[in-house]
Amino acid sequence: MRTGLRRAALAVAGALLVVAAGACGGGSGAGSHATHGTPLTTTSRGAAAVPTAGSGAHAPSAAQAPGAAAALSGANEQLSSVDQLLSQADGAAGQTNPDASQEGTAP
Amino acid sequence: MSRRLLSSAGAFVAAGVAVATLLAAPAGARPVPPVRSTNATTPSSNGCPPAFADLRSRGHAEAARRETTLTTLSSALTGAQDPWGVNSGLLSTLANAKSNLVALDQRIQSSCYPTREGLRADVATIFAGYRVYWLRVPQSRIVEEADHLGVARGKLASVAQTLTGLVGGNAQAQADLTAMDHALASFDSTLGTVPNLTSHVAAVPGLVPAQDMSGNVAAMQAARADLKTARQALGQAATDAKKVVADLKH
Repeated sequence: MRTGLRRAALAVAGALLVVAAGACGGGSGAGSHATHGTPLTTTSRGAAAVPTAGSGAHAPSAAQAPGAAAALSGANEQLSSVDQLLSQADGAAGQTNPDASQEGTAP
Repeated sequence: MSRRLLSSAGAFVAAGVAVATLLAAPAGARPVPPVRSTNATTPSSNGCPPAFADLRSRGHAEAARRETTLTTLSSALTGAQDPWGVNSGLLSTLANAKSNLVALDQRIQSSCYPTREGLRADVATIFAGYRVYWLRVPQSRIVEEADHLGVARGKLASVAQTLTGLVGGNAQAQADLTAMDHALASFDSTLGTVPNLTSHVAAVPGLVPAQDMSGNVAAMQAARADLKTARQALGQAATDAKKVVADLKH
């Protein structure tokens, strides 16, 4: 009888732990989401998605908001592309001087 | 007196040698009149090739050099994006110039020129009629530079929009973003707001070859000055944008 009560108490405790774990939301990786049947959202770079705003104890600043890291990364890529374009512009600029000397002299 | 005697004797001896030579030579080997030369400077009777070979050769070399240059310019302009919408007209102009040069070269190589001056005038057209190096090269490169700057301007607008959503209450990032916006505005006031080219550069695609090139040169120099200012503005905007990114990472 006493053993039966102990087993029941353990079962209830275990069930509570499982429920508590579920309430915390996991979020540590694809595996934990997969077991809950919830597809993991990822950024375009394949990184795990940033936790939803407001779900934690601290409200994120704008630069820490969801997608901010990806946005900054995208901005950096755009800036690299800008540098290349400016370099190409400089290359063209080197030949913009109207100089008659290359024309040569007609016979 | 003795000098005159010596001179007369010399003339007599020379005449004698000439007569002896004529008498000694067989009838069939009599000296013949000089054959008309076909070398570079002497025309054939009708001025057809190979007459004036030197001028024809020079004309071909100059035409071929320009054709190669025009191909290079077209290739560069085709490779650049066209944010201002001015490339197609200039590309068409370059293509026409090249095909006309090819036709002119063919005419120079195959036509009969009764006078050297006639040929010289056609060869001179390769220089003054096309102005490939004095006009077409700087003209195309100015448009190409404006193209690259215009595309870069579009990308920086996108970056500014992204950063605007990220700066939040970061004061330093806000200040750097404001500086970036000012630099972009400076670009727009210098070259125009894509796709509307409103600076001196706008006149460049329409320039045509001229005997007196002073007007074309002035137009292109003004465009170059605008491009230099615009380039500096975009460089500053890019630098400011990088500062904002760094501010936000701290």
